[in-house]
Amino acid sequence: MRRPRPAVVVLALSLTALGTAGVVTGATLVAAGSAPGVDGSVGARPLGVATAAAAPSTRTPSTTPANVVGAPFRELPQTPPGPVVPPVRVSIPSLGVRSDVVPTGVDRDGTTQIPEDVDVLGWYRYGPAPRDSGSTVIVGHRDGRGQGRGALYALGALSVGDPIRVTLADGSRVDYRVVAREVLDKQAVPLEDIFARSGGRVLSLISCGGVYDRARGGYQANVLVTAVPV
Amino acid sequence: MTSASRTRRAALLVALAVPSALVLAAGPAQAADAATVSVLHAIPTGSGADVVDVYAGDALLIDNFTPGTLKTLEVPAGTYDLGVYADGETPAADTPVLEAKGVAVPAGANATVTANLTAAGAPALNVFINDTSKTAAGQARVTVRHIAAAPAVDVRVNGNVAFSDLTNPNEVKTDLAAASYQADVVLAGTDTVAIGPATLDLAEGTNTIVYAWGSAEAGNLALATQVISGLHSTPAAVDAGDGSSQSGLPGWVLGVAVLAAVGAAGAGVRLATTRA
Repeated sequence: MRRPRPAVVVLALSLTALGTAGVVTGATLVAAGSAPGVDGSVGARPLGVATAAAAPSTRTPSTTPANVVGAPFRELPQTPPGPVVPPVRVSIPSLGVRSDVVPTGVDRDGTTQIPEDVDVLGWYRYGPAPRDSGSTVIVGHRDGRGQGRGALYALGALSVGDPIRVTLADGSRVDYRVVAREVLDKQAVPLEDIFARSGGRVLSLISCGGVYDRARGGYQANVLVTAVPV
Repeated sequence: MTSASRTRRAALLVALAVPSALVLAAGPAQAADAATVSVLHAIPTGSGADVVDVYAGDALLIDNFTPGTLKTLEVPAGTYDLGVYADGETPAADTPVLEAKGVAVPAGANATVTANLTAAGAPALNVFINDTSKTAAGQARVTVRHIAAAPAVDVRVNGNVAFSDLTNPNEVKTDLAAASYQADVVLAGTDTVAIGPATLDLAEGTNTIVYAWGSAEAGNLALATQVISGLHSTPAAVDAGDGSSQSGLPGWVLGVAVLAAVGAAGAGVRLATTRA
């Protein structure tokens, strides 16, 4: 266990000296108080705690009636996440696609993990499932060496209004219709929106498109199809 | 309440020496002038604080607070005098069991106040800043806080020592792949298990804070858990294809080829039409 860092304590005190909270930026605090050590862990301690025994009380017992918690304090509910029902199959009639869906995560390089089998689609398992608020992200390779075209090869040919059906692990289904189809330069892909974990329920289907330029990292664009529950 | 326990409780009065104890890190998704403060009751049953009321100034913050429970509140930014009182007692009329005066709570702050035992077994209040900085996509954060009347410990994760020599009232933390882990707490440098093993489900984009609390002497060491969610980040990109369907030629070459073919076909048709 490392000892507390003097810099943290000094910062804390100086921040308080500023007085009003509005002046204090949390980002500064986080940066100063949470700098990871070389071993990936941080030694920290609660700030400024001391104990002192006081003289025994000579009070008489209180007869004050029970109080009620009220404004300005608000207790935040402890809501454990509900059961997640993952998608297991995607059907896109207008493309002749019927593909299995497996849960995926993140590759070592921080990019979205995509099933090696180009016929199989991946559901970003850290984000919402179709019955949850937010964006359900399903990805698939456009192509793969020795495998030919992937299930989402023709994603860019979908039209607004086309139906998409997603089957969930419990056998239930969610029907969507396409509301947008975009080909986005990889530098301009709105990842925050696509991977949103709150807001309206949408399905985001993503593959690659545009020019394939090996020297510049492969496909230069993403094809994004957005669909909403019917 | 019996007079015996009242005397004991009064003897536990604690004051924070540094009035600025609560200086907090910003959390996501908060009202502009609000802060998040959690309070953990981690003084074991039978230590003189079995049922307490927590006050901020004269206002009741938590009613009928019992050992092992955690409450999370949204509070306006400001400076508070926190007091822990025996059930039914009030700041106006009574002396607190524990108190922390002049606690500064900046807007956007996220902290946890623990009422716990020191290593030596005396009740105390501690203030911990919760790390609400973003986690990388696919990662989770785990924070372990030692607030038990117990000596230094090691924390083992999946059988290996992940954190060593953790003492009360300190914390350790790290970010790691979101997954389910087996964890236990052993006396530092030994294989003597003090708590656990327990399964830790570290969800992606969360800071899971594990408190080791209770008393080794009383044999009631336990774990309490607090989860702060919403710290996730997006993946860096979606790289979905290796270009193998593109015949090794740049896309524009293919495009030109297609256009040329279409043009030739069209010319052929026109020619045929003319001939007809």
